[in-house]
Amino acid sequence: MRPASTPLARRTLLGAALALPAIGSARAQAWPARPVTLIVPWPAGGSTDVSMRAMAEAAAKHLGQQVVVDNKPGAAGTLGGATMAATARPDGYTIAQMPISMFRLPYMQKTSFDPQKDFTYISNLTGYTFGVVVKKDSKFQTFKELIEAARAEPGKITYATPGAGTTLHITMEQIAAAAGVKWTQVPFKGGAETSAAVMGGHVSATADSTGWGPLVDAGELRLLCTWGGARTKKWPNVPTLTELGFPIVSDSPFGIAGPRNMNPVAVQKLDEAFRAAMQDKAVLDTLEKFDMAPRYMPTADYIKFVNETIAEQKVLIERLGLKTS
Amino acid sequence: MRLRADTFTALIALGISAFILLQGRELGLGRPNDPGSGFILFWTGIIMTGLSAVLLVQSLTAKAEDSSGLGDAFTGLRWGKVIYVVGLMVLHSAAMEYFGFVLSTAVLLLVLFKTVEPQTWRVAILGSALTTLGAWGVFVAWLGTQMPVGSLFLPD
Amino acid sequence: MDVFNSLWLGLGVAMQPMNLLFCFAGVFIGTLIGVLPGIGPVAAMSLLLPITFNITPEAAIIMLAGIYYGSMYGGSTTSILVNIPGEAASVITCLDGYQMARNGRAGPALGMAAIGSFIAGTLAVVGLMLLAPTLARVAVKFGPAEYFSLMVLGLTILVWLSQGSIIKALIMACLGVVLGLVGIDSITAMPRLTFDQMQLIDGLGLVPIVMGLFGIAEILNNLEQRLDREVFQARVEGLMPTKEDWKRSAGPIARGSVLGFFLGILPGGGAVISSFLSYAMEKRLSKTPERFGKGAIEGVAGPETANNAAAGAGFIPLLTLGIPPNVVMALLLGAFIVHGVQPGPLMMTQNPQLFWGVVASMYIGNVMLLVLNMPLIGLWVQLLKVPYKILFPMILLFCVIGAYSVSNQVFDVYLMLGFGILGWLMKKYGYEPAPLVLAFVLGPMLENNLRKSMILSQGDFMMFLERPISAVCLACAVLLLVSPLLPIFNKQRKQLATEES
Repeated sequence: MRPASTPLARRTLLGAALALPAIGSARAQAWPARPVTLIVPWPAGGSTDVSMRAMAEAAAKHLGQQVVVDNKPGAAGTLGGATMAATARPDGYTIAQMPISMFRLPYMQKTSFDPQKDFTYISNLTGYTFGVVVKKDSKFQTFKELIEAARAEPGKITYATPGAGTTLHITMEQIAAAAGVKWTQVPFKGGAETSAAVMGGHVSATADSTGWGPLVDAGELRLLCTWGGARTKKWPNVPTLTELGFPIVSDSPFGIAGPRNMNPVAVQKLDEAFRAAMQDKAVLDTLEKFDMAPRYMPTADYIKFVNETIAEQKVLIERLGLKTS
Repeated sequence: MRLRADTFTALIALGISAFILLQGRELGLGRPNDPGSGFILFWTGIIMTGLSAVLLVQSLTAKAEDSSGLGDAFTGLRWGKVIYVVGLMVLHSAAMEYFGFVLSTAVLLLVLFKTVEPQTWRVAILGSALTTLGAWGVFVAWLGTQMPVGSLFLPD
Repeated sequence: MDVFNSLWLGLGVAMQPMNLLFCFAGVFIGTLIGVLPGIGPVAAMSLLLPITFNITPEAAIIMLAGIYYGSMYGGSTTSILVNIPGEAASVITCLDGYQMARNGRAGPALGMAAIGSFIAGTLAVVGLMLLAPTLARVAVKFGPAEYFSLMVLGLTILVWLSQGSIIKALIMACLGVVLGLVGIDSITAMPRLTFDQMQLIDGLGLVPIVMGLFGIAEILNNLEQRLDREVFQARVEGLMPTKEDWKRSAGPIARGSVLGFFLGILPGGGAVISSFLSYAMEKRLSKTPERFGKGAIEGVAGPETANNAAAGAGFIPLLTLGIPPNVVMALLLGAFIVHGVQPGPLMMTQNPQLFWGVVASMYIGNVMLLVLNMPLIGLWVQLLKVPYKILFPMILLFCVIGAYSVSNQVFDVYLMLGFGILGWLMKKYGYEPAPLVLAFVLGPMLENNLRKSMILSQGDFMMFLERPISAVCLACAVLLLVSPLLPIFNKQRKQLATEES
């Protein structure tokens, strides 16, 4: 079943009612004159939703207006952005969370949006922590040993991911290409199944976000590497990919954007508000609970980053043969 | 000779099977060590083709008095009402995005109460008003379901 | 004795007035949520999650868990009253539950569902307490090959569910599998049967399909008839199950509890499979299988018990391994993390008061639910006395809200109406919706696990026979398929097949 739902409609109605008398003079007044809607393309209650809500609350304090979260899950996290591109006005009162799938899906199939043209990027916020784990009694003590085993018997080493075409899949193949080895992906449906697959000994390793955390802490699974720019706070003894000789940082960073040609005043105000949010204690605490590392980028940097990511995704998708048409 | 119901539905099923089969082929069957996206579609299509064929033969060989005609399922029934109600529901869904949940629902209920099994105006108006209000109260106000507000009422 | 000490500790936590209050709030909200079609525990829990930030972790988890198992009690209500399954696990309850309601026996059906749920819920907590760590380890042994074989067995059993033509039931099952495959293929990330429509990328929603094929189709069928003839028999035969009902239900409840508990531990689909396995089993074991589909109480008691036992058992992988077996448990996992607790192997030792407090609260919650639900039965039965011409627009409206609220897309309402028309036509020509819906749920799991197994075994089909659990499932499936050929079984099989005429 596809889950969703939050107490938005009521607040939107209320917000609408409060804002109505102000319409006439809204443009003359300082932005924002009414609540901002933040579209989160994930189900309510998940890690992304909870962290975005914390940021929305902190940003609202700075803006002096409510930031209302609207969950529009679907289409691998692109439905929210796609809906915004198609319907919202570029007045800054509707913005959306931009997951990495926004830059990837257009190269995998026909989409109704173009990430290069249809959005005004505001700021990058944070990313996830990914890592590779094996079972406690696995013979692989280090990531190097896993790679060498793949070199010895091409294709014999299997790894579970939460789905084909996810960042986990793409990065594992990037690593294999860099090391010149071949291993076999087994795509599971979502994160929960991957931990069970490696624990049950069905695959040699699992590449996923920190769902494996408690099992690693309990000594049931062994963490071989993490994929962030620096070592994690929680598992400081585990090397990053860069340390292991693969210059790859893979954390599926996400930020926020509005429809194209957005009011520049709004862009600037929103960027400031979210920069403040990324220094808010409550936000940082929430991010830490979900093992998400803050990765704020101001507007100019984010636009540059988006352009690089789009170009990079195009190449990766074509190389992996994930393109359909 | 009248068209038998089972013959007709078997033919439709056969058509769908052919479509599934072709889609499966197009998506690719893959290899044994990596079955493709179309693998199960293709084989499901094959099985369904077989089943539909059996049904087709059965329907043609059955005794005439044991099989019902295509139209029999509609005779003596008010199927016009079904089309009418579904049509109203489609209109309601389309209207909901523009006029919002509350307004379109109140109108829908009023029309349903008044025309399908005509009630008195008193019952119809009261029924539609109370049901709309109740549904809005429980689902939107209390449970926080995000029903459409209606683009008509959204500020610029 | 260790378990008793721990339970004592847990009861101490659960009996604190604040926690009792939140437990009651949870099961109360859960009951209401369960009754409203479409709006499931996921929606309610995600809504209430932010509110729990300000209370203790114990109170928060006790309440959220209460919403979940509370909603399982209410899930059967709309299936029985108006033929609308609130979730996949209640699809089977429609078959006999709704017929019971039409015969004026809604009371006993609802009563038996509640009592069965209570027994299953309580037994599941006992199982959770005594067997959790061991069972969780067995559950992870279930790999792609085992899942595949289990799904094969499940789909084979569809044959036993059909009331009329088996050929037609199988055609519907094929159609269900295909509909289930719409969307992005998780193995190759290729979109299948999406026709470049963004709405189809995540696949078709279960709720619109189920509500269309069952709820909307039933309304359309009733509308065709003259409505002055009431749909429900006005005479209500008692609110409580009779002695006879008890006698018939005792076996199904016992078997359903065990079946549901063990299947519930498996990540993914446990509740659905257990509910219809239980139905098929009861029909197979019954001396009077011809009563099934016409209001047999066994057909309500067994599946309702099984899906509640499965719901309870679902906590095991979450609490002991930190692996959520379904969407609701994933949400609960989020709630634990927000409160700074990581469920997993260490939770029992690091946070014993939380672990045992939650477990103990489930005993208390189940008692609360029974007390809460029994008086409600009278109220629900009264609802059926409302003339159908007043009732049907309201049911239609609930279906629209239910379908819309799951995804916030009008597309899903159109989808539901489309399946409503399909279901209406299907009934006219003797095609049943239940095999379609179950294949819709199981088909994609079968596909996904078959392909994963093939990737893992490098194309060797023997994998399915070499692994014992998998081999047993396949053997059962083969036995069921060939049994009509054996003369001994043949008599019984014919009896089942011809019961419609």
